[in-house]
Amino acid sequence: MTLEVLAVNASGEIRRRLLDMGLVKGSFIRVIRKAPLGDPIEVELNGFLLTLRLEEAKTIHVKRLEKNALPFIQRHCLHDHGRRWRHNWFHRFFKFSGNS
Amino acid sequence: MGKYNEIHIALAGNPNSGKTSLFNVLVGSNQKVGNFTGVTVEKFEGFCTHRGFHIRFTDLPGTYSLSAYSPEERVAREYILKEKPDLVVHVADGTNLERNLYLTTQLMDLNIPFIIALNMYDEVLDRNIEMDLNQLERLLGVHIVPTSAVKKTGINDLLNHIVETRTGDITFHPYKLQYSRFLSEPINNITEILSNAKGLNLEYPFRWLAIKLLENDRDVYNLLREHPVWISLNHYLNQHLDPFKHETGSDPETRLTEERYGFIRGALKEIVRNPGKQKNNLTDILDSLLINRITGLPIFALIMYAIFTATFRIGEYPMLWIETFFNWISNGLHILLPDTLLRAILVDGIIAGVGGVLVFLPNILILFLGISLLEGTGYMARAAFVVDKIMHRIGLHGKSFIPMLTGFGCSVPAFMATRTLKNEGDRITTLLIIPFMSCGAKLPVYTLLIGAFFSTKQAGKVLFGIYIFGILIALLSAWVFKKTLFKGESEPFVMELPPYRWPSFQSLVLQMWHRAQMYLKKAATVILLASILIWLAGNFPKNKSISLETATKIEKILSQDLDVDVQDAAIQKITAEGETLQFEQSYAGRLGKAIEPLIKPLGFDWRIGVALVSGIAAKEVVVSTMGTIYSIGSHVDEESISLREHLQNDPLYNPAVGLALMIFVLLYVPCIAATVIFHREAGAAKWTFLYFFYTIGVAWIMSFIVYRITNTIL
Repeated sequence: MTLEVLAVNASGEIRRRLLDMGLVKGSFIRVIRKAPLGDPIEVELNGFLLTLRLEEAKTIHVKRLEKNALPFIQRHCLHDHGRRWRHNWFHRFFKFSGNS
Repeated sequence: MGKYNEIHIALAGNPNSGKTSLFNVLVGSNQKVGNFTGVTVEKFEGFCTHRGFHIRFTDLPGTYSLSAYSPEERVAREYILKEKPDLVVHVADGTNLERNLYLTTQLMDLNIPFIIALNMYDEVLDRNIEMDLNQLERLLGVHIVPTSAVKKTGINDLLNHIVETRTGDITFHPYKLQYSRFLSEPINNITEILSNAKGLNLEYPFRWLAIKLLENDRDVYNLLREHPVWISLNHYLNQHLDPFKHETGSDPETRLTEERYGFIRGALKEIVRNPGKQKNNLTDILDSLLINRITGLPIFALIMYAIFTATFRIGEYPMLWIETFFNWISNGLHILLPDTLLRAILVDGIIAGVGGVLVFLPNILILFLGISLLEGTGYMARAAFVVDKIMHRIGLHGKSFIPMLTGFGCSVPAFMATRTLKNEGDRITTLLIIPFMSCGAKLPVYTLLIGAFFSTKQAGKVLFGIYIFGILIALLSAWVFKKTLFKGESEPFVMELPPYRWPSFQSLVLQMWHRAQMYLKKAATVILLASILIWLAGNFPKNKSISLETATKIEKILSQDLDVDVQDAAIQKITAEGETLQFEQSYAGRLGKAIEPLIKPLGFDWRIGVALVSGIAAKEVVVSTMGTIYSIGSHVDEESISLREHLQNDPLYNPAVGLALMIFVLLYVPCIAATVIFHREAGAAKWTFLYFFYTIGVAWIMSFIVYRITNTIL
């Protein structure tokens, strides 16, 4: 699942690091896996692998790349909350933008 | 600048770009390791000669950027700007140009002469990545030399290039990165304010200062605030920041980064003809095996277990050889030399001290071989990834795990292993809690005391409890330090998982050699001196009348016509009693007596005090000191029945005292060798003071609580 970065809302060192690594507007990331204990996650960014803690990932605003994908999720999240969220397990890692 | 035929080169580049491998290939064994001034960031320097030129290389720490947050980045940029190397060689990983070129844009802002060594070029060719390097040179104004540290190709070209830059055969100057008008306007204006200011004598280029000021760079802010020019700068910034945000919908810091990446993407679009096989299949496969949700933790545990076992189990053999070797020497000298003070100092003081220093070397070498393997292959970052959640709970970084685990074996290599932690808060906190991980030398003390005061049935539980208690204190301390001393100073876990690679044999050997060298050169001398001093304190001053009395007593026994066995036993007893008396009035003995009032509340008497004082030399000495004090002779071990019985029969001692003593030994300041290493790794006297008083303070409080509680229960 490829996500497009819209903005980074962190501050201080975390923000600097995220920006330096290339998490700027227009980059694409792909979530690869969670750590065995569920916290840091591994993403692919510009051809390399990067780890992020969930608290850091949450500061990154993204949108899904697929057309019409977001309304689809939102629709299903409303109706079938549990199943859909489990299906899109990476969903809670980032801040999703409402307007796609 | 030095002589004409001397060239000073600094190597800059991202972590995992093969920079250190390239450095090793360039200088071979002509290198030494030290620290950059004022920080505990390692500095590797080396040299080689090429076409009659003496080329001196400094390997800067690997960085992704040149911001003011991490000590590495700060060191790198300060070095480039203040030491002014003749040329910076920017080592870039050719298989990951987008992120690597980001550092290039930062170097362009610095306005310094640099060239790019496009490293891992063998992999670029393997993956069929095709790019127009000439076009990239034209876009950046920077010369590019393809190299491969692994295949050792392009090395000569790189050296030729370096030499020809000096001889003037090659001249070039990197371009300035052109920003959009939103940024170039304020950059130009601030540059102008700075260049018009009087008395501004800074070693930094003004345009760079302007860019960093817009980037909210902490160091540049602090630097400029001290100058009168700050008034007009501040005025300008206040006036222009709000319109900037309004116009661009962003802030200068974000915008600068975006435009840098924008430039890189544009450039890459222009030069890359074939992106090649981007995927690294081996890494994908290994990752799905090694760090997946099910096998990730077991494999991590297995690897950690393997490193721990190798370090301390396999390390035991060379340690034994070293011990045997030094015993052999001291026995030889014992026979060869007459019984004088000189012999005592030489044999028991110096040779025993040197042996005590070298005995740590096998552990250090094996542990660092393990760590270099983990780092070189790329698993280290994954290990941190796997355990970070646990470590983050107590405010630490995933990488703190290895030093803490090593602490169960020995604090000396454990302290040295904290080098892998880049953030100072994380590193100091880890250093401060390692002493609570019960090291191997404390085990004899527990064995003796548990054997004396607890039944065999309870023994296992008590021992396990002691270890768990240490871990709990460590976790609690980490939490406290992170909440007080290093508030909010945790390193972000924004970390690259490098592709799996096989480290070169050369770099593994070099890294081990550097550790050994560092230990022997910087620490061993101090440790040696300290252990000799402690030995002196335990043996001096010698009381003549005690020795005389012992001698007359022995003569008396010898003159009596007794059975040989009885005679021997009596002599041994008298010698041991003499030793006890001598020890009691030695400096160490006196110190032990002097601290009795302090340790009385814990149920300890002066004899325990003396044992604890001598335990600062090494923890297993606690046992042998008790042997000396109880006149059993100093050659007892923890299994000694007579020492155990002595403790059991002493009316002053009971299980509560035993437990309190174990807790005290668990928690109080580690041995002198570890303390010296701590001081080296922490880098400031204040941390060593904190370490000393914190460990002793915690030990006292916890022993007091344990003593009082068990006393009321029992």
